[in-house]
This record gives sequence, C-alpha cells and structure tokens, in this order.
Amino acid sequence: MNEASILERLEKDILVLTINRPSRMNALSESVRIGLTGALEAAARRDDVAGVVLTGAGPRAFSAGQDLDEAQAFSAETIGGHFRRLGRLYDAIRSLPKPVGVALNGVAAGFGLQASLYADIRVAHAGVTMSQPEVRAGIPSVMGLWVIAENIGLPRAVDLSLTCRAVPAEELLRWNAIDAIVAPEDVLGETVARVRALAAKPKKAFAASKMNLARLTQAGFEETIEAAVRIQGEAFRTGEPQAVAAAFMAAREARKR
Amino acid sequence: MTGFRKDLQEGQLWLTLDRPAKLNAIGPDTRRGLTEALEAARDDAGVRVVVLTGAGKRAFTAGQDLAEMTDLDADGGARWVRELAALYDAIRALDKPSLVAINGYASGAGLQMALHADYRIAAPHARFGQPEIDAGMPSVLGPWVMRAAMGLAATRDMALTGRFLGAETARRLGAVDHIAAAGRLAEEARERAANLAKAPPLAVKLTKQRMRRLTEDDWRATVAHGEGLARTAFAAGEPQATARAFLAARAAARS
Repeated sequence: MNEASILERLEKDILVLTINRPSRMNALSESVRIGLTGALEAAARRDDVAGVVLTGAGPRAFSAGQDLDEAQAFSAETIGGHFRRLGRLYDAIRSLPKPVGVALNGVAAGFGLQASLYADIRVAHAGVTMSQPEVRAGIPSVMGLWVIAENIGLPRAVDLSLTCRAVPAEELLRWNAIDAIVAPEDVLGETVARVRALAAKPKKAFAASKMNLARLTQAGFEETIEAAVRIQGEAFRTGEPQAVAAAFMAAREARKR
Repeated sequence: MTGFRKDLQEGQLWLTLDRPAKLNAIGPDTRRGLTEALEAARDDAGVRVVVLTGAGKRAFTAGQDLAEMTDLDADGGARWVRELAALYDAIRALDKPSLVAINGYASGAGLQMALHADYRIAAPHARFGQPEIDAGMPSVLGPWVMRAAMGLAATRDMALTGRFLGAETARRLGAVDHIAAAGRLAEEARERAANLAKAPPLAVKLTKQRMRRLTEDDWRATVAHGEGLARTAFAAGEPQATARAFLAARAAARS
C-alpha cells in the first residue's frame, strides 16, 4: 500500500489519528495495528499532545474489524501472537494517562467496537452501529466479550457476542456505550472538544484517576489476553475458523463474478 | 453538633444528614459520628433496618466539605481516605438491610454511601455525580463501588468528566433502584424499609456477610491504593490549591 494506513495530525494540542483504509472499511491490518500502537505509545511521552482522538477515513466505517484477507494467514501457531499484539494496542489506549476519544464516523465492528470501549469518550452520529461479529466468522468472542461485559454488563456482552447484531446508536446511547449522538459533520469536532475538556481537568488528578480505572481492571484484562491466546489456539486447531473464512471469501469472489 | 440526627421508630433507624445550609456536606465530625452510629446500629438488636437521608429538598449530601481539604498535609490526606473507607466499611458491615433515600444531590461521598448500601430510592429531582476530579483529587474509592454497581463505561464517564446524572439516567445505569413519586420520597422509603425489615434476620445477615466477603479483598486493595495516591496528591499540593480556589470563587460569587 502506498498511502500510510494511519494519518496523524495535530488539532492544536489534540492528536487526531485516522485509520486510512476507506476502501476496506478501515479494517484492522498489521500496518494499522503497528501504526496505531506506535502513535499512542508515543503520545504518552509527547509534551505537545494533551489528548488523542481516533477516527476512520471516509463516511462508512470507523473500523469494520479484522481484515479478512490478512486473516487467511492465521493458523493455530500464529493466532496467539496476534491476540497478544492486539492486547498491547488496547493497553496503549487504556493506559495512556491522557484522555482518548473515538470519533465514530461510521460502523464499529469487532476491533472497532473494542477499541472504542477502551477509550474515555465516544461520539457517534445517528447512523452509526456497533457489533461484535466474530462468532459469525467462526472466531470465538473472547476479548470482545470481556470488554463489553466490563463496560456495560454481561447480559449485553452475551447478546452482542452470540447474535452478532448491529446495535444502533440510539440503543448504544441508552446503554452509555457512547456519550453523544451529533450530526455526521460534527462528530470529529465534538469528540475533539470533549477530549480537550478532559485535558483541561487537573492533570495529576486526571492521570491518577484514569490509571486507577486501569488498575481496577488490570487482572481481568491480563487474564482475558491469556484466555484469548489459549481459546483461539484451540479453535484454529479444529480448523473451523479457517473453513468459515474460506467459505466467506469464496462467496465474496462468486458475488464479484 | 455532629451534622446529623438519629431517629429510631419501629425498628427503622433513620440517620438524617442535617446541615441543609451546607447541602449536608460531610466534614470530619459528621464522618466520624456517622461511622460510630452505623457501627452501633449493627450491634443493636432493636434496629432492623437503617435508612440514610438528608434534611431539606436540595441534597442528600454534596459530599466532602471542601473546607477540610485546604490545609491537609500528606499524612492528613491518607488519614482522610482511611476515615472515608471506615464510613463505607460501616455501611458494608451492617448485617441488616440498608436503604438510602436520596432527596437531592448525591455527590462524591454521597453517591458512594448510596452505592455501598443495599437499596436506593430517589426523589425525581435527585442528581448523582462523582466530581472529585474537578477538585483536583484522584478518584479512587468512588470508581470501585461505581464499577461494581454500574459497570466501567458509566464509571469512567462520571469519574473522568465529573458530570452529574439525573434520577432517570441514574436508574437506567443501575445507580438507583426506584424513583419515588414527587413529594413522596420519605413515605415510599418508610414503606420500603418496613418491607426490608420483615426479612428473616439470620438469612439477611449471612447473605450480607457473603456479599461483603465476595468483594472484600478487592476493596481493601483499593483503599490501600487510595491512601497512597492521596498521600502523593496532598504532598504535591494540587487538591489543597484547587479546594482553596473553589472556595474563594464561591465566596466571591456571594459577595
């Protein structure tokens, strides 16, 4: 790919990181994961960054989740490492001692939903949906199940993980899974404004309060990564995820012809 | 003057925070007196249920009295967290039902006392918040009990933004069990308390001991963490300076 998969720009003191694969619904690829993790870890140390906003390029998706072409390379041997590295990206959001917001410019599925729930602020427009579609792709819902349960309760985590349904913005707002619904053209500006308002709080108190939330959930977070490594390894050893992915790709090819 | 009154009638012990001019804010005397009253209620067979509420219509309690915060040193900050934890422990350790009738603002320590109790009934105009962060204080004890009751998303929202929720939102997010009809909070709380008081005492006691046991190790770790953070924060001076600035701004607004 010629263009950078993550675009970085400063809006004064707020770093905006844009997932830039609009033709692929901003799906999570290796380059997206590496770019986001690096930029977030660097933001913790940057004096010119008071807070971070994540968003996606184009009008359709914040991120539709795992890139399925890259997922074809997953195997029982490699899947564990993938989830450990993904855990490091999520940790870069939850452990950043500065506010992190997500400007939901479109759908947030799988990785997109989970990255959102690790952030401090989420702003959407009325057309946004969130879903946790792993199970339909033959992949057990492990890390998603945990972060949904931790944030908005176990019954909703079970609902999303097993039905894989797309939850509309209105319902997400009722659950407090998002903080606001605004017009599509205002999503980014509103997110930047809300992150900036958090960055204006007493800095030590903010950092200590956010780190305390990470501490409260640390044991569960670490256990979840280990569980994901173990359970995904078991699933891939059976061959089911690979078979479901192959069937999906074949159907997609057939539609193209 | 300890800032609250006690009334025991028909097995219902009502503890009413009673500094309405100060929105029933909690200073050191009230904190210690309330802790002792709750500990005494646990051992008093004549008490079948404990009800916490506030005098007046504006607040259950605005929470911590900021006047106490302006001159604390590092040791004082750590002691303050220990004493708050002792107050919450006294609610957690009640082996009889507890109910909070939230008659207005439940802010900071007020929200936390309510969440440590067994049952929350709110007036329609009640408001709930955890605004410590705006006073320059790390929010530690609050998020522990908020997460247990409401989940991480609502906890993070309230603890990091400091914003207040209305009664209906608080009910939807699990911070309130029931919203009373307008003007009927005390009556509905009394009826509910009478119902709770009828539960077989031994089953209640053993269930409540089990509930406390389930969360005790995690809670103790949080209290220890909170003490350490308060020591650091007060040694650095941010909470005292923010509290002084807040009180000065309020005094200026009144003059």
